[in-house]
Amino acid sequence: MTAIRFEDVSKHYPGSPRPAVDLCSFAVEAGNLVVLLGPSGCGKTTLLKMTNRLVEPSAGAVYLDDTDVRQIDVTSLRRQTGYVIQQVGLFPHLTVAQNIAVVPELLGWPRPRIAARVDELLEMVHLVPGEYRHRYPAQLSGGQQQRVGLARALAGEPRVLLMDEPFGAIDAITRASLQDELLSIQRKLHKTILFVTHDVDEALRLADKIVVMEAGRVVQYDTPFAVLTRPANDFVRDLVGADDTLRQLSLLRVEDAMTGLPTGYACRDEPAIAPEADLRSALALLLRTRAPVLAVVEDGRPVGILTLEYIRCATRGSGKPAKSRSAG
Amino acid sequence: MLGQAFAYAVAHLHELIAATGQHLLLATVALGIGIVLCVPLGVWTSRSPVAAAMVINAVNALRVVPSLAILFLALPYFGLTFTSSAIALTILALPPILINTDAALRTVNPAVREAAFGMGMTQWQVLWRVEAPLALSVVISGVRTAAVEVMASATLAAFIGGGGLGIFVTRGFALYDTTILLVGAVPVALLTLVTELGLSLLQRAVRVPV
Repeated sequence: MTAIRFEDVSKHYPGSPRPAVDLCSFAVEAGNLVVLLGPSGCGKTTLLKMTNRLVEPSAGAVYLDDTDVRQIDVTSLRRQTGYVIQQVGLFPHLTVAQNIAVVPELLGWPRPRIAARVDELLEMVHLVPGEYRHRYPAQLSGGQQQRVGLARALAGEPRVLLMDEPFGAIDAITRASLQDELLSIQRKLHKTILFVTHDVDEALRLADKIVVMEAGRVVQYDTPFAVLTRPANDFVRDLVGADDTLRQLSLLRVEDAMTGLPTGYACRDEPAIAPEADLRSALALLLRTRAPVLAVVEDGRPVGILTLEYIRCATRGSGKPAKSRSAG
Repeated sequence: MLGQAFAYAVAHLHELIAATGQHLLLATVALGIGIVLCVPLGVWTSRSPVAAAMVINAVNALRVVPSLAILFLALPYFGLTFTSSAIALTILALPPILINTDAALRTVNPAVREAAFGMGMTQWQVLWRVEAPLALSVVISGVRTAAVEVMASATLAAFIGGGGLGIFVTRGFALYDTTILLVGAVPVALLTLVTELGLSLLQRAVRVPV
């Protein structure tokens, strides 16, 4: 089901020679995390803000569950769309709990339900409620503030979540852990998420699908694997570093390249690797152990095998080697 | 000398109490009008650069006119009255309140405002729930500056028959008697100090944790 749909959306700012957003059309499936990726000034944030009408399109329309967002009352629309921004924007005069409670209060939830929701969300973002509930934003680190920002955006059980470079101002180590947490929260909640970033690694890591943007236009809308292995043009190729094989290897996962266990195949003492490991580690393992084949092992059971040939094919984007197809 | 002043104060206790009441009333009226006028004006100027340029400059221009001059300028219209004094004092109270309100709202973090709108607050909700609490401490600091100025300057009202503790100062002046002068000056100093202290405490109480 389509949750968000952009139809020939454009945005012209007066006095600007070219449109900030130029005839963009794409649809976001419910439950998907879609990343808008591109250099600064490519229109990705403008596009995001059209979803909650912080920016109104000059032409075209944005649909939320098949309703034109212009037909929804603007405050009610925004209360149904969680919004996380890079600068977090927590209210400094309110405690963590009060910050998270803002949208539920605007929605008129009863107090006990709000209190329960606050604790539930704090636990979800790994902040112990008893310790953090009554703190003020100034008493939190940058990473903790953004956790609260995420909890606040989710508090009103929004239909979609809009995230505008939410981890952009956070140090690399904390960013990685926040990305992990977003993924694990997403596995539980299956929210429809639009996520803006200029960080290619972040996009490839988080996205179900990536919208690559250049100068206001959508140049490619595809899965991370396809964007990396079959870039639509030179711009995308350069942006994602598709020619950098080592980088590709570190972003592609074993499960993208492996093949299922051939019938009758018995694992002996092949080196084992997990399906979610990256291909770079797989290649390193192959080279180090000089084994011809790796066993892909999940929860202690072999689920597939990986050879150098499969890795080579994955990086070329040509799928599996021919022989595995005939064998499959 | 303080002893003599105390004796004079006791002897003229009713007059002293009436003068103190008058003094406080003058200051309160001036400050009240200043707040009612300048807080909304400050909200407006913080949102409109044109309004800011006009209103703030106008109020600043008023400020350079000495209070005593304003007192005498008001005389032809309102006579030797409480009203004349109140007008002069109000003009004194305007600039700090206006400038602080304007500055306080301008310095609210734009990201906080964007988050507030993005969460579905209306204009009013953003003003009351977010901007007002964040600006309050700085606004009160402006009120404090105004209150201290007004409290001290209300002494001048006596020069044009506006009453207040200044009557003892003018009397001491006329009779060349420092004792009488102190009966006016010491309470004014005390009132000003208490005002400063009280509003400082209030300002601290509403300060946003940083």
